[in-house]
Amino acid sequence: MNSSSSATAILEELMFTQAELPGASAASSTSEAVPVARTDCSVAVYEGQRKFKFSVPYFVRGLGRAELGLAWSPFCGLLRGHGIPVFSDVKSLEGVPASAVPARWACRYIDEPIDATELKSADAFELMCRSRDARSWCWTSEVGMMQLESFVFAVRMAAGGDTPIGVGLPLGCHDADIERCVSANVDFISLVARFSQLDANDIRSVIRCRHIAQQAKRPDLSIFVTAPLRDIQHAHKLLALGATAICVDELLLPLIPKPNATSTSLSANSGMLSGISIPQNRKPIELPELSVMLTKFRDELADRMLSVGAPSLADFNANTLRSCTERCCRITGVAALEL
Amino acid sequence: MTASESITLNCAELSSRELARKLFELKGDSAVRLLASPASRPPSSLCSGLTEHLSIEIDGNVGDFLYLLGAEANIEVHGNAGDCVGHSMVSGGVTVRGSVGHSFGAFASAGFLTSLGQAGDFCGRGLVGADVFVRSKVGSFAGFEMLSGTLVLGNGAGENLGTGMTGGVIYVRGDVKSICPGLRGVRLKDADAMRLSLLLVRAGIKANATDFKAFRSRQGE
Repeated sequence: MNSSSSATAILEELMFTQAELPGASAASSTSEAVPVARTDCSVAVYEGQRKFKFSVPYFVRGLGRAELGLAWSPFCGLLRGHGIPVFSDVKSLEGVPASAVPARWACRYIDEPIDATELKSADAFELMCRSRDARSWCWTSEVGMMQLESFVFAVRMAAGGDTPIGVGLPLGCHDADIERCVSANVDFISLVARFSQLDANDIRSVIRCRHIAQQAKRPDLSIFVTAPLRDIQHAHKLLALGATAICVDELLLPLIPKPNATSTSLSANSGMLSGISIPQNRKPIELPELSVMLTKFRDELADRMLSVGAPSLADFNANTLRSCTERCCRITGVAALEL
Repeated sequence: MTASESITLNCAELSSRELARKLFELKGDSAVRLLASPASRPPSSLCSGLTEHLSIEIDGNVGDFLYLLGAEANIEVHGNAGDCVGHSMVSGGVTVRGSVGHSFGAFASAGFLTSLGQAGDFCGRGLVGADVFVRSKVGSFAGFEMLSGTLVLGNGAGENLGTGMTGGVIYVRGDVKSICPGLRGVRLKDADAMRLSLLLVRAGIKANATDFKAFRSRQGE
């Protein structure tokens, strides 16, 4: 069995426990209301007032104007409508109507200056431990090991004091790197998959990250996971294992219409065409399948939470899971299933 | 607070967040004196993200990340400063009367940074347009991955000068331990000499521009 299939297998070997159905007395005590689970989550700013809120614990990271072409603007509107944040730079959102701009988070790679506009207009800001040019993960020498706390504080103050500042680490990173971030009072840790397929260590690092945060008395530290998941049930399991929100790019990708190169270039109004007005008789692009899928994601998560007896995401934890195999139990630390 | 105000703040009496808030509340053209107690740890992340035209004098040593992403303000430190002074600075100026740590002026896009003492490694790292002057010695890797801007070194340079540099110019007076293969020494043209003279005047240094050697990246050839 190769590493990728073993990672998928580990998630498959985890199963949710089933809670008892709410009894008649419980239902009557809430005036016969249908029980609902709260799927919203938020990122709090360390010693700050503001919170970065999500309606569902999902986000979009790798889908942008380049991937979507003319569908980008309606896609943004869809994300906003569903309360899903997008990882994007300011330039990509130019031309998107203000009413369609979703919550946005931005990042800075280690070999780049911090962009003031990106930082001050973002709802959350990530300091990636990654070089954009070299495409490698490392701690930047200018920040060093001992100065991360000062750096995070300086960036937070430069952003105005109420923007969550986090650090981007590779999924499967060493515990010491996570500990360094937690002790630097970051508002969130973003774990990003290095490869196109998950392995067992990637899953373990999510669990370790939550464990380290709890040990450091920061149980509410947000952990974002960007991983190539092709099944929403796997996202549910990662949420239960300790993630705060999961990237759903891979799940949405099959439903994204391919951008039409010609229409994109004509609409760009650039070069020799810049002085010519092009009639806009194109029908507005609609993304009904995506909208249905995003609604389904939310409803499935709410159903799952109710089925395990978790009224909120805070209650949706590893206690709601059971390991079906000894190997899975050993790797994840999740209690074994008892027959 | 009213404009053109002059106030004094004691860093030891305020938390970092309180101090930052007080500075953010100041209107343009205000003058501020910050007192950094020698008995306590030098305050870090001071003046980060300031965007008002303030005149700030700091008595004592300061920690890391002074004036990160700052704009418009002019800061003078009567002491030493830590690492990454003026990181990603947008405009304004920083003068440190003492020495600075590593990555002085890292990624600064405009403005003028001066250290009248020494500077650590990676001085002027990733510069994207600012002018950086160091009167005394600097460590290794000065001008590392510099894209544009000017780095003026008044007393030689350490090893691996200009590693990964793709643009801008480095002026050095004195010996250079080693330069990276991608760098070449060029003749100081009149325009260079004039620009350098202006920078030296701005830094308050009496020196002759012709004493300096200029280094540029070979990529620009």
